[in-house]
Amino acid sequence: MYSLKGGWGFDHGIYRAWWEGELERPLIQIYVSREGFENEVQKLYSKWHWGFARDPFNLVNTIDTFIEWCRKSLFLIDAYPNLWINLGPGIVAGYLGAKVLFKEYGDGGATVWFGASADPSEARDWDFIEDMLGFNEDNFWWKVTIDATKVALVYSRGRFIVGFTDLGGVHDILASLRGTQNLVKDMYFNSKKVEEVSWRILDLWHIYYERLYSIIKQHQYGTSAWMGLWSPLRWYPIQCDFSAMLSPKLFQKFVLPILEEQCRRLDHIIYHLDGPGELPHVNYLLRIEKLNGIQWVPGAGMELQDKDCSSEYWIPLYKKILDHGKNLVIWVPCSRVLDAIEKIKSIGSLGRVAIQTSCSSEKLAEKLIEKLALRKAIESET
Amino acid sequence: MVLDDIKESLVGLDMDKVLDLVKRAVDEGYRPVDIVNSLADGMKIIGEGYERGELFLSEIIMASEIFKEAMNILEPLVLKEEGVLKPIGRVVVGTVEGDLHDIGKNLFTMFLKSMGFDVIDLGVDVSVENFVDAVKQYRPDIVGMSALLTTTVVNMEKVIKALEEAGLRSYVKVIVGGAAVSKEYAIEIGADAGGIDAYEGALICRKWMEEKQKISVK
Repeated sequence: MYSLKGGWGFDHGIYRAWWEGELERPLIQIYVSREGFENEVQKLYSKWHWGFARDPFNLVNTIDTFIEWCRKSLFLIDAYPNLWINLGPGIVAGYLGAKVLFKEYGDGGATVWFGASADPSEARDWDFIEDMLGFNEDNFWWKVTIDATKVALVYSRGRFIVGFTDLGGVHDILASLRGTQNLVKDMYFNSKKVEEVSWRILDLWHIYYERLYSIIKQHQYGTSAWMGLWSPLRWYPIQCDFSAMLSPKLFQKFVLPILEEQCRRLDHIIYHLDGPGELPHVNYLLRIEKLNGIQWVPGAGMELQDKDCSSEYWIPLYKKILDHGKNLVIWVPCSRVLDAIEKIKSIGSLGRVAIQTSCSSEKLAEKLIEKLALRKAIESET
Repeated sequence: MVLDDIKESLVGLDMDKVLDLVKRAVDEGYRPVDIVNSLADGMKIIGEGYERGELFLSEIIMASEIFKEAMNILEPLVLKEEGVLKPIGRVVVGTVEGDLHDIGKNLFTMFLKSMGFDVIDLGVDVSVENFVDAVKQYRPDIVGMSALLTTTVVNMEKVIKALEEAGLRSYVKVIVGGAAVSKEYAIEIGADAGGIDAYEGALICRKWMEEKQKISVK
């Protein structure tokens, strides 16, 4: 029931079962270029991935590039084409009026910076921030998001999935407005204000989410986001990168209540746990009953030490996540997928795990699928 | 006694208490330099706690803020008493071109300042030329570069090469840091140290200065 031919469709039932913890195998997404298009696919990806942010006045061009990328790519097993509206990590800061700075690097990479994260002089005082806290229908970036989402849904005609833009974490948005170090200091010296404004941003965040959801549901069954997972319900990957700065005490006081409330307001939720700096908070996250799972990202520093997601080093973390009945989402290099599956099999239910990978060639992807079938990590093709 | 209390209150992140105690110590006639040293001892405990994983970045930021506030009181007094506030060395720091992350750089700067360094902070997204110009202008003992992105770490090597081409490399030590920088990478690109946390990096800088002083005494 999954795609081995590289089509754009996928089995909704697999995802439904995964969210419910009832899948009997891991959810596996393999992305690979069609043979002969490897270089082109790389370029197309970089072009569409940052296309909306690079050229917000030419949305169709980005969508066309995405479709071209899809045509030259294969989406294997549970993978599917996911056009999420990438305007950078935490565009809500932009909706509230923070400066949005798109920055491109020579190697095709890029990112978007917001407010004080781009320029410390953009850090605002609390009075200014409070004035920013309103839903502004006419904000340029909000209009771009709405337009891009609508146009993508119309172009899709059900062929590919359109995902939410990256709204960002509530405290990450606040850090963009206030400045990261200022926000930490305010947690000591002006804690009531931090709490009050965080809750107001949370409310705004959900207004943006619901507005986008109301558009998406008119054209598409289910939702998707930058994490590339589909859900039949209202789903989102929540996060707080800022928490890497915080002691567990500050995390519990300021961040946890906001995350718990986000979980209450959404249907399916994965927490994006980004790097070792956030690990001191994992026990608190796992206690959030409504949280469906955790995506673990070891970060560049760990990967340099050969501690990518397939490493034995993270197995105790995976065990802890799975023992709490939560799902686990990891990105594993193609050559290490089997290894990761074997390791995780020995500590918990594979049916709660989503493994995402990209292979450098069709042949490698085919070999991986053969081995996965032999090990019954997926059903055999027959 | 009051000097110990200052140190402990700093470790306890109690700003009001630290500032009260600093004022009291001044009133009681303690030498400003000795008060600064008790604050530096407190920062050392904080740094070591961070290295052991017992303390977190938020606590370092707070401790540094308290240190900074206390120094606002003490700096003019030290200047008055000693005639000059002589730093143990000068460091030019910056996040390399293309990268806007500043937390690691700022932490490194905080620890350097608490150890008595004069720090010239070039900010973020600093071009190769700006690093070279700053070395020419400020004549630092050390250049510290930070990068978090795998796409921008390559610019560290460009700065080192540019320093070599300008004939400046032998005059400065180079230390590099950031999530995407390993010890091996630091050596590979020709830095003198790197791939360590902010506190350990500052300790290395202090060690370099101590070695430099020994050499100049000889």
